[in-house]
Amino acid sequence: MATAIQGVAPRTARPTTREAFPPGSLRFDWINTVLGALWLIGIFIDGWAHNHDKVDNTFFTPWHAILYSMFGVFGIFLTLTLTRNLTRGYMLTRALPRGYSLSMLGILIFAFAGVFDFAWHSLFGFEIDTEALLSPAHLLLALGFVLVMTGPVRSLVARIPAHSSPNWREFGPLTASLTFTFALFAFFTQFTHPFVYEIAAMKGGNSNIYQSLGVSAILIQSALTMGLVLWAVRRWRLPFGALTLFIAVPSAMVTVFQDRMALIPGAIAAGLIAEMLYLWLKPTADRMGRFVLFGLLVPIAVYSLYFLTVQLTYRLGWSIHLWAGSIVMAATVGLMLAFMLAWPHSDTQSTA
Amino acid sequence: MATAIQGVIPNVVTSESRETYPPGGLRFDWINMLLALLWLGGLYIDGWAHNHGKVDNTFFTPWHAILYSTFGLIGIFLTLNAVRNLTRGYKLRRALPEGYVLSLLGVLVFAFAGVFDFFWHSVFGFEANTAALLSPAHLFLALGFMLVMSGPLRSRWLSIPAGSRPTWREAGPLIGSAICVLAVLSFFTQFAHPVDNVMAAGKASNFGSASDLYLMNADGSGQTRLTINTQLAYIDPVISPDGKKIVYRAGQHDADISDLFVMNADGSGTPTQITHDLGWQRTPSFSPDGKTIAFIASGAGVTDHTELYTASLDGSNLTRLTTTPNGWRWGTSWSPDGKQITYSSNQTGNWAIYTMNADGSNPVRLTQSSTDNYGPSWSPDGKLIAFTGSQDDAEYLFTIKPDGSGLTRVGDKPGSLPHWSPDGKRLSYLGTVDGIDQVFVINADGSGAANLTRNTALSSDSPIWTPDGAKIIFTAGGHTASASESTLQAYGIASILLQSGLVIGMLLWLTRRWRLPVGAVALIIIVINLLASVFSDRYFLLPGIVVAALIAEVLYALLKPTAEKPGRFALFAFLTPVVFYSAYFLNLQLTRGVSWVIHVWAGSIIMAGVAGLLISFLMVWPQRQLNATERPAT
Repeated sequence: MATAIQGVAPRTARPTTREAFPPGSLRFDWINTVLGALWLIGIFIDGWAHNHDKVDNTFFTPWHAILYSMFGVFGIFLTLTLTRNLTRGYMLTRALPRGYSLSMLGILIFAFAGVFDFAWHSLFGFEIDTEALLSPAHLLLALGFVLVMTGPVRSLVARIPAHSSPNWREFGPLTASLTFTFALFAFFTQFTHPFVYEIAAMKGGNSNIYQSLGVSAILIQSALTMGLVLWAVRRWRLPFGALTLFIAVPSAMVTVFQDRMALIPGAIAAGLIAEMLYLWLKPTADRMGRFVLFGLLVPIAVYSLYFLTVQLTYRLGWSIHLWAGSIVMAATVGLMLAFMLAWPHSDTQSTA
Repeated sequence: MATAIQGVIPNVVTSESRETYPPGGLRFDWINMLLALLWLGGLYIDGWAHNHGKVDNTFFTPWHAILYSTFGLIGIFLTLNAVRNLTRGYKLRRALPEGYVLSLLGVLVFAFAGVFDFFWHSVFGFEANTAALLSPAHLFLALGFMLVMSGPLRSRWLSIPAGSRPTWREAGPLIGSAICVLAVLSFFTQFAHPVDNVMAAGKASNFGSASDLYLMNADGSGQTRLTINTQLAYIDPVISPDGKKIVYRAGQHDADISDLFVMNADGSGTPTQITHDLGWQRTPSFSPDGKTIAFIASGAGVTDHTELYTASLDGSNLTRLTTTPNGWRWGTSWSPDGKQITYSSNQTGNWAIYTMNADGSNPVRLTQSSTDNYGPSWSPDGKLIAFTGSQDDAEYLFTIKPDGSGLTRVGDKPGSLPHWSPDGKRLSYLGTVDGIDQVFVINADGSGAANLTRNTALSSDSPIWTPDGAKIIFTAGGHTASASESTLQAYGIASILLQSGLVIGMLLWLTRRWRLPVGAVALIIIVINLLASVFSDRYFLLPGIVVAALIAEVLYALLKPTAEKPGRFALFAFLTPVVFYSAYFLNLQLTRGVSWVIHVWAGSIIMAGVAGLLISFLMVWPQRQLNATERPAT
């Protein structure tokens, strides 16, 4: 029976030492990933409802119900696993497979933050727009989710050897968890996200403040995406499709807030171009030139296609200085991150 | 003799291998770093001048002279060294000490971009603000800066052993070069810098609508900003007949509160307030003797109509001339003999041009059409009144005689707010190009309309001539006042994330490789933010910056972050931005007040910390495995 719940040590097994973790498994990683994905969808539905004015000023909305019940499923799953392992003799801090202790902490933080959020709203009322994303209760909720969602990342980073070529079966939970984590980052920076507000085409998008916000948004999201992409590229030989997920999914998900789904095909196409570049350049950290070139070219693909899509659907209002300059600056962000990652930082690497 | 120039090998030595670099040396690195710092000074002086409206719309400014001559210094230094080494038998790609070949490339890129910039401006005009920073010519210049200035960084990177604790003597060029690179990045992202645009200090109604007074020659050259403010809309300037005083209106855009001020026309001294507690005020004008101003005011607490007032320049002798409680008045202009005032009012439904005696008696309606006519300007010879009239859903310039006869349209292009040149031969007015208002001039016969401001980023308003006819005063500012509170917050937070990412990125990148000498962390933080504060004179933020920098230095000493201790590394990466922006908001609260709600400012501090944390993960996580696998077999 115990095998039905992954991550629980068999009844017969006992920890060999007090330092031991219960054995993890790919299946346990997959379950965590899928539960995290469901929960994330709950978060995005709530975000969609907020952006579409379908939310009353009360804590008890159907959207919160979805969000918190998804969380509940995940929380119960981890707590059950933890309890079983405790009864098998594992220490409290080692009661989940390696990498998942922080997930349990995340569940506790989220539960606490939920209560805190309820109390906060009751006391101070409801924040609107940007305020809501930055309120302490909501940032705590974000922290809780990120700690849980990154469970499979921690688990698999420790298990998949660096510089190997993992297949989709083992790399799937890792890719998906990373993608969903960064989708949450995109969620919490939606106020400065070009796939939420296409300022380059908006009426008034040429005032100083809108121009500055529009360019900043591109730089910030480019940094997030390229940070994830380059981090993964440095560590592994990625299976085909991973880059597309990293690049397209977080941006595609946030388009639902302001119904900018027309921007999705461009993001997917950019992901596929990144895959081609990856196959062609074969960037690795010890080939700095290729690594840096890859870091430079991917944002160019993403934002060239972005501005092309915006022009075709909403008509660009920005001058060539601005949109071309934004593409170049986004590429510079990728370039600098690539330098930061690949520039030799210990003498054993730099053989001058 | 050859030893006098560092980086050039002595005459007697011939290169043993064509693959070797000429020897560099600490002194060569120091010289390059100091030349780079000088050049950086040139860049920031030019940026300061641009932000202070001290730049003509021409390539040949004193600021460009400083920028390009400091560039010349380092360019000549590097070229001279390269030429000498070439004559000693080194190959072109090895003509400078290791790490400096890219610097030489940077010199070429910058020189090329400088020429390109000159032509770009000549062909496409001058960009302003955000667009200027992102124009292709300027991004090329940025690339040149980065390549040249990072020379000592590359050289020192190779010569200081990783994991060591270099002294200031060894690491000085490294730190200086890193500051230069970071300062260039910060310069070209100044459109989103929390030390430059202090978004947390104001309300939405004060931003995006701020405008300043400008002065330019009557041919559009020499555009110069007379005032610097980021809070209020300065509008409706008028200049005294002797050319010494400017009266203008300062207020919150579209708000009920505004006042009239008087300043010296050369920008010297402090402006003094003329009116107090008169509600919403607009459109002052000088009497021909320069002693009295006429203007429009709603009166304290009144929001449903305006009246015409006169007052002396010190605010005394305040007199209300109109007494009709219904309707609005807008626009004032005196007849050259000082006996009459023309104005516009909608007291009978649509806007019409009126005249009355300077004591308020005998108001006469001049325009009789059922369309709107407003904003009159009396010609210097007293024979015509120019004004804005609507026709076919557009606004055009018109003239009419003071007796109400001879209505004539001036030119065939739309325009508004005409103002006569002192010789009566031309009119300045406001025209719209691509949705942005520009100052135009046109001959009184309707010929020769010309766009003078050609400013693609700022919207101009209320142009008037100086009494000698040589210059035009106008106002300019951001052309959308409708940015919401939420948008401004988003912009403010985005700029905090961006700049904290840049600074902590550089600090972590250096820290991963070495233990930096004492004071380096504080120096980098202080210099970068001090430089950013010169654009809009944000020196009041300096105490917080210095305190935060010193705390970051203490954190660095206590945590001793290295790549081998990812926990400490990540903690330093998180705490440094948190400390910086905590001090930033505290400083702001104590000086100008923080207008953001606690969610937003507290959330910004945490998000800045998270930006640092993510970058630290990028660099060191998970270190153990990377160390094991990335150390290659040699």
